[in-house]
Amino acid sequence: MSYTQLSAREIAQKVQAGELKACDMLEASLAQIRAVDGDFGSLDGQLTDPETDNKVHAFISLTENMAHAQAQAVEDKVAKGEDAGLLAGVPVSIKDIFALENTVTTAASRMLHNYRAPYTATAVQKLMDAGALIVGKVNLDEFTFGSSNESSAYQPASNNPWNTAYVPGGSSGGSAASVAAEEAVLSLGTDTGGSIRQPAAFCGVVGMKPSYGRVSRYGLIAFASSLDCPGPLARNVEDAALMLQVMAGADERDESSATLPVPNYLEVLQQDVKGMRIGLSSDYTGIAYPNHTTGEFEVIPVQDEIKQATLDAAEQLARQGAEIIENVPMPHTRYGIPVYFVVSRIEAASNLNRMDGVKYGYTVADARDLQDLYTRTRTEGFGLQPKLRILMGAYLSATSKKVNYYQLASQVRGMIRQDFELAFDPKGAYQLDALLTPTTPTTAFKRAEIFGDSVLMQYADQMTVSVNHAGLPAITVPAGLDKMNLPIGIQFIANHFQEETILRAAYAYEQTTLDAAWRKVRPMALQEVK
Amino acid sequence: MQLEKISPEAFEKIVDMAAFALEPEEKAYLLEELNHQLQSVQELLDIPLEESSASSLNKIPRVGDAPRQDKWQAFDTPRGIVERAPQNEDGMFLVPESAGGKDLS
Amino acid sequence: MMKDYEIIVGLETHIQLNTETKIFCACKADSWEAEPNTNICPICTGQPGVLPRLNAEAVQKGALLAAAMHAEINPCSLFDRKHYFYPDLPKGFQITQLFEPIGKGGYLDLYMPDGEIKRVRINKMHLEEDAGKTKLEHGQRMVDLNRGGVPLVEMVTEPDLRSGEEAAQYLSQLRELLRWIGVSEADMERGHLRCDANVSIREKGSTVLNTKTEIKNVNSIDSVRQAIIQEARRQIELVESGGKVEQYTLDWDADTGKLSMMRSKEGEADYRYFREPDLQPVILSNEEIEAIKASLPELPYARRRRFVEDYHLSAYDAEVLTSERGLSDYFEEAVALYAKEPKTISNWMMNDMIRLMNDTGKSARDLVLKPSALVEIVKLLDDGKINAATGKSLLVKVEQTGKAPARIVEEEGLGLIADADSLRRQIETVLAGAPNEVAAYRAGKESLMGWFVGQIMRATGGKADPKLTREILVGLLKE
Repeated sequence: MSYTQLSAREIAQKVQAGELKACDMLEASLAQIRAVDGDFGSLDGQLTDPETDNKVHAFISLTENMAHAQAQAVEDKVAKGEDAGLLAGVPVSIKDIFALENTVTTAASRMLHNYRAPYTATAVQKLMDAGALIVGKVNLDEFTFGSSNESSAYQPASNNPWNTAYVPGGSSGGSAASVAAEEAVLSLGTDTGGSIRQPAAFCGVVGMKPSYGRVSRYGLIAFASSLDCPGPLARNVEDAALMLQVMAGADERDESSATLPVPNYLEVLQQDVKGMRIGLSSDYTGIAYPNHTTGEFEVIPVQDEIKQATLDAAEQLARQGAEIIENVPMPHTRYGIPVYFVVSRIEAASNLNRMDGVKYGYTVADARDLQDLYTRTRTEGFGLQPKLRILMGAYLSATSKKVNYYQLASQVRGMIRQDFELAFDPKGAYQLDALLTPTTPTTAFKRAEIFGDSVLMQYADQMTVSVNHAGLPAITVPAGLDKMNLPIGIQFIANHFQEETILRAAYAYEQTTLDAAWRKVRPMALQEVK
Repeated sequence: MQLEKISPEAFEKIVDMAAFALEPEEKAYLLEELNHQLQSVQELLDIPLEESSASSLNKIPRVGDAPRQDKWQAFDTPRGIVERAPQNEDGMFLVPESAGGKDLS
Repeated sequence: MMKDYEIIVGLETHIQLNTETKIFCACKADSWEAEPNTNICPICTGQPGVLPRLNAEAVQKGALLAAAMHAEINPCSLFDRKHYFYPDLPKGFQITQLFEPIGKGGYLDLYMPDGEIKRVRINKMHLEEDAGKTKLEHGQRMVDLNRGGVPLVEMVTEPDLRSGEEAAQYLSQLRELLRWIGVSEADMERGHLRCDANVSIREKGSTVLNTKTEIKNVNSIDSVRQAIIQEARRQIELVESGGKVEQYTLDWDADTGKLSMMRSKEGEADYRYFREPDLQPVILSNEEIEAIKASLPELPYARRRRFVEDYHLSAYDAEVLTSERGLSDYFEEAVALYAKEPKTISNWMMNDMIRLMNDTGKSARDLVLKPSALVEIVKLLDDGKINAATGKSLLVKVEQTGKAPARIVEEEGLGLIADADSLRRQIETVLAGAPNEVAAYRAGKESLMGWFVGQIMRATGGKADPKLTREILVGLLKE
């Protein structure tokens, strides 16, 4: 068995015990990347042919020198008998949306193709301080705008390691793919409307969105400031808990970071789920989607295998002693996407106003005047998806509107939040500890299948986005494979800062699947690598 | 209340506001997608909004109030920030003149 | 032919707060002396991924200013984003307060030279961040972000002012108030207090508000006065000749004293305001608000009036002594310690103390010579232990050495000779050396008394008690 198949916890233990050298661990990770990744995404790269391409293409760049130095530092500490950190020697990939001093952070966009941040994001710093080895930056949808990784300006963009003709999901596509392909043991992603959970589900890994404010956003190039959450992707629940443990906590550089103390997540994992009240909702069995040919709203049911996997999971948990409460109403779920269109676009357009060719990044060298500089820089620097978001944001926030959309969406957001509050209310009708839902309505889709239809692409996030509106924690865990051998994910959602609850539930469920047949199937991209 | 589709003229205005210069095919695609998205946003206008007391603010528990104290802390590499600018000289950012000649604010 | 016109003026001021750091990062608020782009950090240069952190002191000073302007301090104020593209605005938006500003309502009462009190109402008052600076050099436009992110209070009046003179008074008294309560140095030459003026005219008796023009960058009190007078005249002439006032933005050139058209204000930019999602609401509890109000010092006009009424100072003296808060505090403390005629202290302050401060370049607060020391000197003089000249020199000596006045007097033997016997002997010596003058005096030339006193002063190094000297002299000369 290759080192790259070890869990993060095992690696850290072995490294600290001197049984495994951090430099060797790094080599194993780099070797795996060389074996399965193929060409990295680049600005002048080309789309590959899905028929023949069997590589993962998770990465945009490696940070080998940095990683070597980090590995050496870990080894030095271990040699001296010092504590080398909770993540000592663990290879981690970073979604290329985080500032990391001495590296280029592209945001998968031409606009930042040469941007070297003069500082490091808090979450990344915490990982490094805990002994992690930063192996490289992984691909994403440009500026995190998307659910398939296809809109990246750095092609070839990631493929789904389970079937390279399929998308890994997005926007943290490279994160999920690199972990599923055993190139990295952990990955740092971001979740704004489902951008960690959806690709994690598509790629058969664990992905967690912490509560808003649990992990500092300082250094995360912002998409939607009131929704963005940095979070872990890993191959099992314990590793996700370990990574969260390292990253969580207050940051004086982020006013929106919670100063609540960070519990010991690893300890709670071992607690059982007896008596845990887990709810199921019929509002999460389909997506309500506007058909623009007919103008009507249709409800498209969730893929059958996914629905079944969710129910099976409930059954498994019931056998572990949990109480399953069915038909919990979450009536405002259907507004999740419209609210998302308004809030995220307005915030995104605003956050991208700073890209103007003056201070950093892409610019046009022969601008006639200031207006020309701005216009050509932004037209040439941004891809189509960012342009779409910026235009929508500009339109919705224009003052001439009769309606204040941001305010309206914020009000409806409050109603979505209230659905959860009622469900979790300890004195309410349901008194849930957690809600169990499918993570996505379908398994991974084929490359180019949906790309271009911005509404349909967005609606794929309907199961995840309400969680962002409410600022709650949620986690997706693998729950099987469909008949195409594409991964299925199920999602646990809990109340604010109740990460422990969903970690416990996810862990308990995960334990019941350890011997499942589907666990023995290897992703397509790894089948040549023994 | 029925949302109006974005007209080509209104579209030109927001393209201008966003500082873009688009090709016809791009414009066509973007305008169509925007109008599709608007159909979805239409849903929000149809919700009967009782004076919703529900807070739309994220609950950020801050133990004690920790506003930033007014103490100077120099950033260690300000020169590095200027040098990242595509056009810079002698520690200054360089920009072309406005077309109109005078500033806008 | 000429109708009677009324000039309507509203002033928009940007006030730079004198906090130590910028409003959203820990760079310095004051970098006037610094090399360009040395007082910057990732936050105030709008790097991707950074977040603002609100300066608590900026909130306190903003709230204090609101209290001083009789405005309501908002217990829950919010920040908003105002979007536009310009090189001195790194994020492409300015963080400001539109919907829920720190202060609501308020007014400033102007004490006009003719005795009238004119109330100027405030339309808005809010916190915001400053932009950087751009300048044109060798045909290149260059940007310096040192000033970007400095805390500002924007304060806009209602169109309550009626002349260039009133506007100048407003600016002048606002400046005094800002320095008095300690929220801004308000040095207009350093851009701590910037002003734009909105001017319109209407026929006397009308209540309509006509189209106004905006004059930008009138950055001295004199400029405000001149620019408004000129613009009003221009508008009146225009209207009289059948023209219409258009909504232009004008630039005032202080060097040439001329107004020039900048651009038409038609089609203003859409700022796409919405709530700043990265900042928490600014909450001030009832206790905090009461504490801020309580910390407001007695304001200049009230203090001036009290000095005139209670201490019987002249209006002029009161004004000089309240020209700076530290000075007036000093005066009050000295008066309290002296516990006798305040006029005595005010005389000392107006003449010698102010001269001392000018000579040493120090403000009252920074003097080594504390009010207690001043009072000690005055009392020494009252008690006849020193003469006036010694008193004046003591001010300087105390300032230089920090020693107590009485101690210096003792160490340097500056005390007046009050011992009658020793003085009599010294006088006798002097008289013995001037027989012709003694004879002349006895013969009737009484004006020589002054000469004798002078001689005795010389002989005693100025330390003879003048009263006693005269007494003894008269006695001796009569014989």
